[in-house]
Amino acid sequence: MMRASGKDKERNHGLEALAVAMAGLALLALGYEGIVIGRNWEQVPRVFAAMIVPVPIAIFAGFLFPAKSRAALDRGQLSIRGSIVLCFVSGAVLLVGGVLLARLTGYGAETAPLLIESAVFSASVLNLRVSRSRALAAVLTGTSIAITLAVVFFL
Amino acid sequence: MNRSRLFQFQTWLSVILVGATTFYFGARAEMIDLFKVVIAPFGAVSLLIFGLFLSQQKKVEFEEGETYGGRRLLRAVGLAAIVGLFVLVLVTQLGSVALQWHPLIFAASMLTAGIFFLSVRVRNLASMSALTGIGEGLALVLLFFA
Repeated sequence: MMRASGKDKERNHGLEALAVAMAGLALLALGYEGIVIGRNWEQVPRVFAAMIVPVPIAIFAGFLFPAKSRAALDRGQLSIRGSIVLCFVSGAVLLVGGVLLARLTGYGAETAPLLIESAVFSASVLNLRVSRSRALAAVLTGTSIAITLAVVFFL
Repeated sequence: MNRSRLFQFQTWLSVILVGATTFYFGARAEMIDLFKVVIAPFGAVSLLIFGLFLSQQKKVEFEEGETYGGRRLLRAVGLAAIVGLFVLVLVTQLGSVALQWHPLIFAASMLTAGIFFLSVRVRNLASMSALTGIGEGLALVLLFFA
């Protein structure tokens, strides 16, 4: 999907924007579950806070690292096979670690998925605008799938 | 997305977080002393006007498109972390002590006046770090410590 925008005609916005949209959808689904299905009106500030915690850090990171040119972006990327491996590895690590942590301490069941998914969403927006990095996209995809599996099956 | 836009986002986000934290702590307060509540913001307003009067020059250096080097980056992140820790400790202590609206409104207006002063007079990497620290500290207070 090549679509030429106004400023930078060479950037391919399609797939990265799709990844951002899917992370946003997962975030909305978790927020809906937290507020509406949980039916717990005292949890609303916690849900709001968990969604907002990564945002100042993301704005700061976008401030610190300016957007690279297209030529510089294509040079140091991870290989396709390496990024698939990284996706599965990060997903497995987060799944096992998160479920163990939740079972052992009893702490992270309500707001931790929302917090991590919000961090994934803001990091994918940064990946779209600042640095199109395959390694970062792989880690974010793995994390998102791990959260989904943890929420649906294990927690 | 250039740096001045991001700076504006950060100031609006910090102001929204100040308001959210004030209302979160204030929802537990019962009685409202109307006179004190109305008087409470004006200390901060007068300090802000004084500060804007004293500092007439506007320092705006955003260095668009330039990558910050290693030590400068580290210093910026360190400043954000220190300010965040400071705000976290301050708001947690204040929230456990101030059980009425007017101290909360006083503290919130002081913080908002500081944010406003930074956003009008000093616009560089240091003030961006300070604003990130304020916003992040308040968000962490809402999540963990309230």
